[in-house]
Amino acid sequence: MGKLIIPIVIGLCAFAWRIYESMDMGRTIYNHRPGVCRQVHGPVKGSEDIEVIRSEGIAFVTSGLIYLQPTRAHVEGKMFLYDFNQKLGTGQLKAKELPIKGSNFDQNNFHPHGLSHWVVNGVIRLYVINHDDDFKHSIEVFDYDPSGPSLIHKKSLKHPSFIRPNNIVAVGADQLIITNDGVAQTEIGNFFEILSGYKGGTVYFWDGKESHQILSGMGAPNGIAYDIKTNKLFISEVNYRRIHAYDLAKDKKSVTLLSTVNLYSACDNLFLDSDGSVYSGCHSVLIETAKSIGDCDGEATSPSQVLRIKFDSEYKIASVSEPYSNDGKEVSGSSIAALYNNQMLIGTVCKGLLHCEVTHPSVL
Amino acid sequence: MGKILVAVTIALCAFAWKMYESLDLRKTVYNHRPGICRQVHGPVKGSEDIELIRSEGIAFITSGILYLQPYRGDIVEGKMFLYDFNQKLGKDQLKAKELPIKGASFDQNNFHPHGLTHWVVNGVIRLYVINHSDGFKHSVEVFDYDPSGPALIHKKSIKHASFIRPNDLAAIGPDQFIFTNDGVTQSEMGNLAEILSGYKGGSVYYWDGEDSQVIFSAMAAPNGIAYDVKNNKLFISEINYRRVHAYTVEKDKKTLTHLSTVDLGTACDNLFVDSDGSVSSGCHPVLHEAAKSIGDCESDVTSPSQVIRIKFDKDYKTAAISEPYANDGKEVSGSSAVAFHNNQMLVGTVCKGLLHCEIPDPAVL
Repeated sequence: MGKLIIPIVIGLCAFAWRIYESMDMGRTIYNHRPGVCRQVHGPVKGSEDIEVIRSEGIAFVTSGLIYLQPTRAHVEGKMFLYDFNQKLGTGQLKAKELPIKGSNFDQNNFHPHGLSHWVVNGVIRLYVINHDDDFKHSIEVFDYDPSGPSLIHKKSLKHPSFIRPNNIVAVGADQLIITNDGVAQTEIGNFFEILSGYKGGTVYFWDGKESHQILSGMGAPNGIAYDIKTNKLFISEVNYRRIHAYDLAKDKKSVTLLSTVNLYSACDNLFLDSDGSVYSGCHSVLIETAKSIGDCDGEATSPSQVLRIKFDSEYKIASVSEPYSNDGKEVSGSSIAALYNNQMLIGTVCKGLLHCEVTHPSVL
Repeated sequence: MGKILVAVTIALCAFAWKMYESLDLRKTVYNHRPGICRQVHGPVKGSEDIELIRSEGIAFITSGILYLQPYRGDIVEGKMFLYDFNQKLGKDQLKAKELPIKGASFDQNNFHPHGLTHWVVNGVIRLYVINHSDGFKHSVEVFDYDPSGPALIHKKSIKHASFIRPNDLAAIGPDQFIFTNDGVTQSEMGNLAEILSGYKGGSVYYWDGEDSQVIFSAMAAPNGIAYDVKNNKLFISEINYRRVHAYTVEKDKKTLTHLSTVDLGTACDNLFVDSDGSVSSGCHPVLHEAAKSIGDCESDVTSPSQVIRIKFDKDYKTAAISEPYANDGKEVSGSSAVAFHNNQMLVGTVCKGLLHCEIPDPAVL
């Protein structure tokens, strides 16, 4: 019996240590900004993902996410438009709510998550991951009408491969790569998935009609971004606190791993800048994130962090920097960072949207 | 027997955990800057402490520290440097000028400066510099600054039994200063044992110009110290506990009234008081790497650097903490001091160079 107790005690110590580590319990967050930061009026229920249309100087923002919490169906899902050309100064920065038109669009069952875009016949087409009130999943397709401005609902894509879709990237007209961050459809199921270390995450390619599995056995693949110039795909594996860089095959049904960068922070959505660097909104203290996201309508906040990953020309090594970090008082639960014209937007899972001026490129 | 084994196992687990935490084995440092940063030419052997003379736009820098390593005495030359914040920023190399030290009684070969402070005495800038000799004997060297040279004129050498292992000092009057002893042992091995055992051998003394009076004893490595003359506040960094204390200095200067303690979660070295009353520090965010790097100053081993800024409320009861700078050690290694002036920041290091950063907007601080 005595011989058994020692390994049990050591095992328990190791397990406690692992939990302590994986929940970031000992971590201290130090605040810093790249310049003056201000709250953006509009997306009070969060800004989980941001899609920049560089040519127009605008960004689309998803708001009102429901994730593993059908009890929060009272939250209204919305799409916002942020104009980077609006005047900076003492006036309130605004993101404009976009009305959604379309007879077959169900506004009551719309809770957008990740989004992406492709220009189809000169029109900006948005692909938005949606979870309905009962946490059933689809991809909603919208065309952007700048005259309104508004979104025109085109179609709703449903497929068994949309297991628990988190983020999406367009790699062609109506061609998408989707991340499923797990298999469980409830909070308790997801908790066990994380605790057990079960790798239920998958990545699929949607060719416009059908799905093809690209990757499986991943630890919660979350953010995804595609660099059209270099044909590189980036995926954030949030449970392992790392990001992978891949070459995308011609048929788009397979990828070749180039490198993996350990970030030591739970990085959510990814944004690709014009210089090829990858940005992410990260959850630097996971235990606080869990509390804050689990209580979106409450006062609880969690730290926010923006990481920038700059790869070398061969995508083998990367330098990592931190343009923004905050204990949660200024912005809570960052999930995305988007840059445009010396400005940075920081989106959150369910609590507001932050705008920061970038005083000088050296602060990034 | 089984119960004893379980207790021993738990104790070992707890000790391993404590070591893991206290050496920052799990800490990740993410690089960021407040603006463009450049190396400063001159203090290649470090810039352990920086003393800003705000009215002149200059800073004095100590270089060539010898700390618990007497065997380095013959390879490291102690020097004093002058940095001019008014020099033109641009493509040209920024320079810190070596200051010649004049004085018949001054022993250049036994000069390895550590912390420093200043007071203006009869219109002359007087520097008080902690010194460790080749044999790791301690003194406070007093210099007057001659701007015409520029040069330092050695005035006197203060030695006292209370200079146990002096680290930093803050002038609070002419020839009056408060200094920190960061421990008691005089060797690397002894210091390691001191840290490992958790022995609180640190102390803080007041030097009144003639004698020492103990202010605090049993502190866990009091390191940086700074005095805010405008608000009569004193700040002390207790490095082993990763915290900074704020005090009011009483009229007799021998008594300090504790106002607050701020947990920083990082090992902060020297302190700097800015014109707005905020306290900044050069810190060692990953202690096991700092130990390796500082223990091998002549090699290429580097350790992360971090600048922390503490902004107290008007009652000095609560504080907001920010991090204007952090680096994994590739740009600047083993930060120990920071000084701000005129939208510029100097980051000093224990033994590896000096960094200058521009601050394009105060919002980044």
